[in-house]
Amino acid sequence: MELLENLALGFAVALTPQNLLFCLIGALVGTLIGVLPGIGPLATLAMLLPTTFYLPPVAALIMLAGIYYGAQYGGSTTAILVNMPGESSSVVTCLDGYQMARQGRAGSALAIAALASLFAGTVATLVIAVASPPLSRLALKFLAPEYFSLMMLGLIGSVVLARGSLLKAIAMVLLGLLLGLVGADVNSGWERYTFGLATLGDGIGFVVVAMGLFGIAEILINLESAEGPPASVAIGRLMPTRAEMKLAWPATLRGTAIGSVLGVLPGGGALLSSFAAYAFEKRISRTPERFGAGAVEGVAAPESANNAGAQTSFIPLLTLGIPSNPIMALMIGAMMIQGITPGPQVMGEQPALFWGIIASMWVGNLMLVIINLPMIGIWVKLLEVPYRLLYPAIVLLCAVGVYSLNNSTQEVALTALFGALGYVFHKLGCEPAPLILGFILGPLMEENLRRALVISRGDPLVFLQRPISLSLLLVAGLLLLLVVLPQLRKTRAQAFREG
Amino acid sequence: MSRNGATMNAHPRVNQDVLAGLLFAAFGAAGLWFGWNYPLGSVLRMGPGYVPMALSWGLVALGGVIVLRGIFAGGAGLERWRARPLALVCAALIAFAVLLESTGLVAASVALVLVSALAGPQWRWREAAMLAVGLAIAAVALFVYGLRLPMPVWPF
Repeated sequence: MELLENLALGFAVALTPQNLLFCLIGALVGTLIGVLPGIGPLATLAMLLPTTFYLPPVAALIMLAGIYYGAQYGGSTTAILVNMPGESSSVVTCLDGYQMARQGRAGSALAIAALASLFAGTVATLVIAVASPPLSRLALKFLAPEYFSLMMLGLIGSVVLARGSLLKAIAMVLLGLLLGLVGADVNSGWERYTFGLATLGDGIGFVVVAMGLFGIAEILINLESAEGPPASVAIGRLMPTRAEMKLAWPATLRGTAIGSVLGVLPGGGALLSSFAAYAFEKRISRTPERFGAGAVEGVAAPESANNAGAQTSFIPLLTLGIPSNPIMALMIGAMMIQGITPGPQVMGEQPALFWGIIASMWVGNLMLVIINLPMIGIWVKLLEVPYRLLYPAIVLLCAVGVYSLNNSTQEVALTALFGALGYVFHKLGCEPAPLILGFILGPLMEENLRRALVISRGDPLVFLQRPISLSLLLVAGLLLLLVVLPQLRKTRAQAFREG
Repeated sequence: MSRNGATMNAHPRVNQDVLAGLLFAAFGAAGLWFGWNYPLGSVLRMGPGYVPMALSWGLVALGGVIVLRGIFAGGAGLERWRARPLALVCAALIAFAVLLESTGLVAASVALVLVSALAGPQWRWREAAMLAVGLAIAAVALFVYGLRLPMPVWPF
């Protein structure tokens, strides 16, 4: 019954008027950026990070979390109505969702997407509540070797799950680790790769890298494709038919399960979950030819999976203090701004914060269904804002957001540099997600590597002699092996192609 | 999902992999060049140069492998590069960085919006000017008065 008490505490925190308000703001902002194609949750969180400094910790984290899962809802709306994924995790929803819309079933596609997401969100909230306490207790036993091995697993995970070439993904991780080491060395105070610039003394700002590689680079890529007004379709009746419900139910259950598991994995989260759930549905279906022509399962499965994955990716963050994807890295940034060191101790020391965030996720999901279904017309109107008016505003937001973090104009210029670099990476087929994970983990890994070797008096075998560390490394090795084996590599490429 | 419709190039020896490998190797070489005199220390007591050197060597080696694989096994061809949006959006950010502390948020915002609007496919003077003024007002209202971020508004 500890679980019920914890959840009761959480809801007491989440249902205060102030926290409800920030949950609503987060859900609204999330839906907004989810609907608008040129701007993703990562860039938005990066931009809003400075403003959270003025909020109490719980409210700040509730709002930021709301933006993340709100974006999943908003992204699927545009995917279904205009065949334009507002978020990368909604790419697969386009395939069948838009076909349903063209057949005059837009309303039921939207309703199925929203209800599947709500169901997945409810289950994922419970998964977090059940899985977190034992994981935190385990993590409290971790010393430097375990932390190093855990981060190694995280990096390998991001490499394995990145799309495209494995070698390039590993190189991106190495580059990220190296960029993460820029600045004064913690142990010796030695300035590394600072070139005498004051702004590099504390290292390259995380927001600078994230905003450049994701925010600015995304604008540059969008500007290449000529814009045309999206053809909108009539929404039709919102209630799905009984036959549709019968198909959607089992697909939602499977999607939720896949999303809940893949979300916890390092490098996982909403994007991977939706792709995997879609590929799985198609494979087990007795009529795979219906997929791509308006199959209900093709909407229910990825939509439930991306929402479940978005939420369970909070588990490693809340219990271990390790980010599983760039968005979670920003959440760590937000916690640090508030003076909270993320890690297994948070649950014991700040139970109200911990359980309040978890409960707010469920409240937020409920709000999103209410926001999205009746107000759908308003969100669709937003799509008519032409991109040529939108992107200068986004560039301005990025510039002010970066500047306001440290009042440094050098960092604004540096953001331009990382934007250009992100564009080059895109053109060369290098995915930036592994780089950003390496960037966050670089200094932490170096620190724990040093400590581990001091504990063991310089014996590198220490990582293999401690059981938890050994098993983490074994899992990492296994993951790598799975990709290197040619047969499995083929199925991996296939899974992404099917998406 | 195929990766943004990349096509095979007529010159297979210059492809995405070759250039990406060269880029990684160049970053590694820069890491070695600038970090050459950082103290390495020992395995037991690592100096500030130990991990950066290891990573830089790794980047050089892996970059080399990616280049070789690109030459011999081939890779996705290069797409067309568009220099105009790249140059103008970066220029807009740099203009903002240069102008903000000397001339204030209004002038910096107007410059940023005008220059970045030039990067778009349909550039119209009147529209861009109206957008610049509107966004400058919104930025001052939101950031200076709303969120109380400390930054100058006017040059004086």
